Amino acid sequence: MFSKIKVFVLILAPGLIVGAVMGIYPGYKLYDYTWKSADFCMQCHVHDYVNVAWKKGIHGEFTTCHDCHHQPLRAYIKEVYIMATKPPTFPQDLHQTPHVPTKICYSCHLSQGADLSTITGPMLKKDIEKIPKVDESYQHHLHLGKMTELKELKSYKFTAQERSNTPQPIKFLPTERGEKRPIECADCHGGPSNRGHNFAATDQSCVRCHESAHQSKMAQKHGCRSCHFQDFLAPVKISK
Amino acid sequence: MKKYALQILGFLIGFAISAFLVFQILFLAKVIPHGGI
Repeated sequence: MFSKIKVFVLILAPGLIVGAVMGIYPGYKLYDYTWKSADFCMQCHVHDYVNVAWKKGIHGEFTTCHDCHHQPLRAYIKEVYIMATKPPTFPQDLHQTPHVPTKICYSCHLSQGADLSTITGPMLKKDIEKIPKVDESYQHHLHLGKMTELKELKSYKFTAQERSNTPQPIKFLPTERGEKRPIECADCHGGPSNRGHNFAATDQSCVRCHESAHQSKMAQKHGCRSCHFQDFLAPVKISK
Repeated sequence: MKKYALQILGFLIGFAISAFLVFQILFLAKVIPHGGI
């Protein structure tokens, strides 16, 4: 009996070892696809305009979905179950706006104390260091040190029009007040006026706080950023 | 013939286990520190 098992193992072992060695690379490629390819995520996650915005925007070239969207392990298991039983369809199954904490933005856009451990996109760490850092630019530094009573833009419910693949530009952002809180990245770089993954700040964001500034026709014609944009790139300290 | 069948079976088992383990280790090493269990 023992010798039979020994013979069985001896015949099985070479194939087992060769198979194990050859399985390493496909295993890595599978991980690479699931973790780094947006195509994998988009098979399950129904989206509106955000897919287009992500591909068009600079983040589409330099980040992966997982860089900014984190979820616990149980969510992956739940997703497999949902995909097998009731695959989601757009637009009826698109209900929520994902929560991306501000510290995720800091990973690439802050000079000090940034946690780079979550970044797995195609950008190398030495290249991430070259991205302009918001805490080193004058107006960003100023705004990040201030407080606001405005409600966060993500707290508002999206309309059906905004949840489409062709959202129209929004002229005014809501200005409801709530508890005092520090200004966050999404206050200027988020919200309906710059729909998902298109993070360029717009004048509508400025007006939420600065509605009484510059009532002149010139300001209304040319907008905020014609004059103030460069201050968001100018360094906090000018080296001599 | 039976010997070759066993060797092929061994290869397939080894391949599947190895690919699964490599995928799982790399995937969990990313997911758990980011989002927890």
